[in-house]
Amino acid sequence: MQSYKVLIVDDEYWVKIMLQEVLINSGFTVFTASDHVEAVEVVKNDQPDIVILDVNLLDIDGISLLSRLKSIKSDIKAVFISGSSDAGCIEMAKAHGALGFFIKPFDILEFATFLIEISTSGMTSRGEGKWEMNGGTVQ
Amino acid sequence: MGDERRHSAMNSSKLGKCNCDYFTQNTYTIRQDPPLYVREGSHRILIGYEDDEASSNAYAYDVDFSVIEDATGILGCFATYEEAMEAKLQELQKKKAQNESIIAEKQMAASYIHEIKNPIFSIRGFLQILHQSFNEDDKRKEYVNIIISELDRMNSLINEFLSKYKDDSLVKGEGEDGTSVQKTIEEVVAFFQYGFKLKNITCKCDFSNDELIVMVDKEQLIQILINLIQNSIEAMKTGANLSIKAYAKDKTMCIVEIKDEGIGIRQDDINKVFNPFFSTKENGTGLGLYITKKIINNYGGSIYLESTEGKGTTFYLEFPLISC
Repeated sequence: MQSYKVLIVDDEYWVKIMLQEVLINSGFTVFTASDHVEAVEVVKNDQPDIVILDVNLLDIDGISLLSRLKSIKSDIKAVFISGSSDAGCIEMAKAHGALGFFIKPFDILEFATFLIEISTSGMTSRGEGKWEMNGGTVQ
Repeated sequence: MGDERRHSAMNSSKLGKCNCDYFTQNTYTIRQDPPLYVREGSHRILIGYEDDEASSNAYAYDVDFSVIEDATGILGCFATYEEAMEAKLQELQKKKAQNESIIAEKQMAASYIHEIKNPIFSIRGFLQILHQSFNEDDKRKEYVNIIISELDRMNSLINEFLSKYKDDSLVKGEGEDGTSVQKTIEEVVAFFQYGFKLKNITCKCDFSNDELIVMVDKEQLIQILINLIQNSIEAMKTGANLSIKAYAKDKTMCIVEIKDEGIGIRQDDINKVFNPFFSTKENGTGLGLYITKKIINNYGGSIYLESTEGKGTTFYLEFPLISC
């Protein structure tokens, strides 16, 4: 089976590299982007299956970027990561069809396991994802 | 300040310290002892009340004097006065600026603290990778575990700080019986009459017939409207039009549309206008729209905009209706 393709969009260099390392070790094909221009390029050229989006990017918010990426590849799945546990933001992510929302700093092994579940179960609809709120995890 | 007090100040025998331009040489003498002079026409007067001396408060009034005379001389004078609207506006703007500087300080501290989470996350992540590379009996595995748990402790200290430093200035106001959207808009528009006049701006209000009542603190609604109308005035050239509409949508939401013919917002900037500290104005704090959005979201409402550079901007505010 062809390896599952993941795009990581985060403007923090070491966060990006660290996540890349973990996901490559978990068997994914990983692409990275620091801003919306790079992200759009990767989605056009490499057609990733899932995108990991930081909510607060320098030039755009992650949720607007997801809408943009979906206009290029409508079936792209999304998981948000953020330093803030703003409830409004989590709701917004859900409304945009994201599969999960992880609050930094989170357990990267748990994160990798969650992505493996998505890639093998074909999880598509919202509601079955993983949602973190106020430090706890809401399944 | 009650009406009674205003009257006593306007009464000659009890006049406080007056910095009025109606005591001039070219005035009518109404009475000699004690002397009272007036100049006909419309003036702006500033009155400092004696009992307010300690606080050095002065109030501005727009007054209009008409002298009544017949062949025998002056019979008296007819005066009307009202508190000057832009004085009230200035007071509100001062309050808003104070409010903004407090929020700026808190927001700045919070965003710096927030940034620490990124390095904590990358350190934690790399440590987890390192942890996996050691054998079970390796002492270093235990050390890594300790570092991870200390990082988690650091993170919870940050979260504690952030929750204590939360903006309480943006917390919802006390719930009252609801606020009339139309009446509040009319009140705020009245504040700006002088500003409109200065730039020859025509402000047109178009409201639906039913009174729109929303569960939003009136002071906060005023603050939102002042922010948006002030931005519009600053963005517009002389002689432009401002249109304000308020209507109900699906009987559940109240929409307020504020449409200006200003310079508009660059397409690249549209996504950023609600970010804290984003401003294109030379002296802007970049907090006006950020606060506006926060307040609206607190009430389960939303704000969005359409803008064309060189043509103008329309802001749409949505609030849940309690009745219409």
